[in-house]
Amino acid sequence: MKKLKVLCLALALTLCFVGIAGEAVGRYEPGVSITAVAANIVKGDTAANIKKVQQRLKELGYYKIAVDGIWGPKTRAAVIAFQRDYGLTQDGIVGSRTEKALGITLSSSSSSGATGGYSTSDMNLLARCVYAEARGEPYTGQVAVAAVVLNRVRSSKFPNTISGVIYQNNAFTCVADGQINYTPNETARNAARDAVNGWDPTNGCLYYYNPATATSKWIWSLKVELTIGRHSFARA
Amino acid sequence: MKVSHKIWIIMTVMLVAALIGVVVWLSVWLYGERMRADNARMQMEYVYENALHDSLDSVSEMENSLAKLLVSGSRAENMSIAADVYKDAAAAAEVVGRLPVDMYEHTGLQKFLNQVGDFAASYIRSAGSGADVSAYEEQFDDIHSAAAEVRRQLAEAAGRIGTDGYSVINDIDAGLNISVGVGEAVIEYPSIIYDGPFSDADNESSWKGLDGLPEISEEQALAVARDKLGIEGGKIVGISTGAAVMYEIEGTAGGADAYASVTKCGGMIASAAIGRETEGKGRLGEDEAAEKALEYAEALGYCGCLTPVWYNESGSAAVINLAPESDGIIYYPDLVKIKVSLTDGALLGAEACGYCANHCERAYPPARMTPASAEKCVSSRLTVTNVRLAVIPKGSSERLCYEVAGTYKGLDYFVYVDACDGTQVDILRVIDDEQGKLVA
Repeated sequence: MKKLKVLCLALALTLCFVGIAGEAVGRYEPGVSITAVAANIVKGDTAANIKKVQQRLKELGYYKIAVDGIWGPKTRAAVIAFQRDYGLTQDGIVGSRTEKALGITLSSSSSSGATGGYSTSDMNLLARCVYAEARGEPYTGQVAVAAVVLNRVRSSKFPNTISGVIYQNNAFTCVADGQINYTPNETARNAARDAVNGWDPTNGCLYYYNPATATSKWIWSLKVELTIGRHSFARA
Repeated sequence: MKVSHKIWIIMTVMLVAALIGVVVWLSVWLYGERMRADNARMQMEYVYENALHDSLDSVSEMENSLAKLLVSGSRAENMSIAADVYKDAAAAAEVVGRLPVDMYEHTGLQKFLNQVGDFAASYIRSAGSGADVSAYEEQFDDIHSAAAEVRRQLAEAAGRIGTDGYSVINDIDAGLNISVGVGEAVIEYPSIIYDGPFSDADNESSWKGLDGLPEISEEQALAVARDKLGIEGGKIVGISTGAAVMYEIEGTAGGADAYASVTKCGGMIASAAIGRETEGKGRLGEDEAAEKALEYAEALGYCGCLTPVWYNESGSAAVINLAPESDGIIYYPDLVKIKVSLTDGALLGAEACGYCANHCERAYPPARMTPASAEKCVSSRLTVTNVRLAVIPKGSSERLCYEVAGTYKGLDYFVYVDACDGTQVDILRVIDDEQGKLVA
């Protein structure tokens, strides 16, 4: 009987493993598609908004898992269940009626219009770059990173669009490691907007690097003009 | 045979079968993943190859047009060919930025293409106005030679595609940089005749607004930041060079991060920001915010009859652009931008590089045209709403113009007409949106 027990355990473990592997594979989705779906579903599409919805649904007993600010099938299912019980259109979209029924207020994504000649998508991209490159830095440091991107757009040595500059090969580590796809916070958006409005703490710098992590030999040869937080800024 | 023995055999078979199942399933899954990865890699290779071919096409077209310019004798024909150069240079500059080359090594190539486009546009404007363009024409030969060299190197890079299993991505994996042309442009541009957005003239000019002002020390700069902006615990985090030397100061104001750039000459605040959160509903109206902005501007030391010229609200803050006005003329180059919290009217920032760089006494000859005749110089399609005199920045210089504001088909425009000869200098279009009014 002892053998039987061991075998049963082994079988159970094997099945468990298959289950976990299956789930892990099934859950595999690139981060981009998660945000892309969320953008269509929750007004403002920020993690903070999604968290608010999840928190409220959890309080009401519709949402059982962790409040993580990521729009997944469980969140959508909870929204639909809530809509069904409250006689709302069951579309899984948190529109103004669902928002009202939930008793919460979601903040709208604030850069809904063009600023200083740049489009909304440019502004979003710039804010994402600021958030990915400089969150945790002092506010000035965040404006400075956005200003460097804009200085490059204006410089003849770099591409002439925000997206051209940000996605340029080897230009920003946040593009190489995928952090550019994180949802920016309000501070990063404000910093991007200030830079577009003409604020430039770097006084025209085209480069910056973190002396603790920079690997490019070339960048060390530049004359540092100023240091804000962890970043050193250089003109050219 | 005992029952337990039978069960033992059945369980063993099941376990082996389950294990085989797991192995087969994992293999299939891994194979699928591998296929997807290979496919993504192949698509990426095509994107790079496409970019390389497109760069070569655009540069070849550009070089071809430049070659025609060398022998063309008619000004009208030159302008038309230069328009092709402009278009192809812009296309090449755009696509070269997408090549998987080390950006630090290829800033020269990007600069060359941008400046060729800029040069062509500048040439067209000059030729169109009837000016002497011989200084431009002397440059054609050098620019053409440089373009031919860029084309040769791009053709070499593109020529490797499709030979001996060459792959751009393999080169990148191996840490090799594909070589696509000159690291530095080999031509010198005469900045006197060429002052487009990508000219180097801007970097060379000094801030005439600060001429003759005494230099201040680091301690004095910190005192300016403390007294005028309330920056406590300020420290100098750098001294930036460029057109004007500035002390970069960081500290806190009212518990929030704050920074200021103070000019070494004259101790002016060139820019400052206070990173205070401005949550909550706005209470201040446009007029109140503008009034606050004027108060702050004066307190910060920007004097000279400032008047609000633009208002832009975003979130719970507003940026108000102020410009000096004297004798009915608005001086746009001397712009001061003040950011005010709409919640409590607090100062959130100031940007006055334009003011610090340009503000000085100017002596323009009186406008020869009358407002009524300036109005006649703009398109008859525009319904004119306002005409006033304004000095606007143009390249590295300034021009006295009539600013003719008008609408057409519900769109707002500002047309700038030279106040002496009536030529159209610039057109700006206004985008109206929920955040306020912006100039594009």
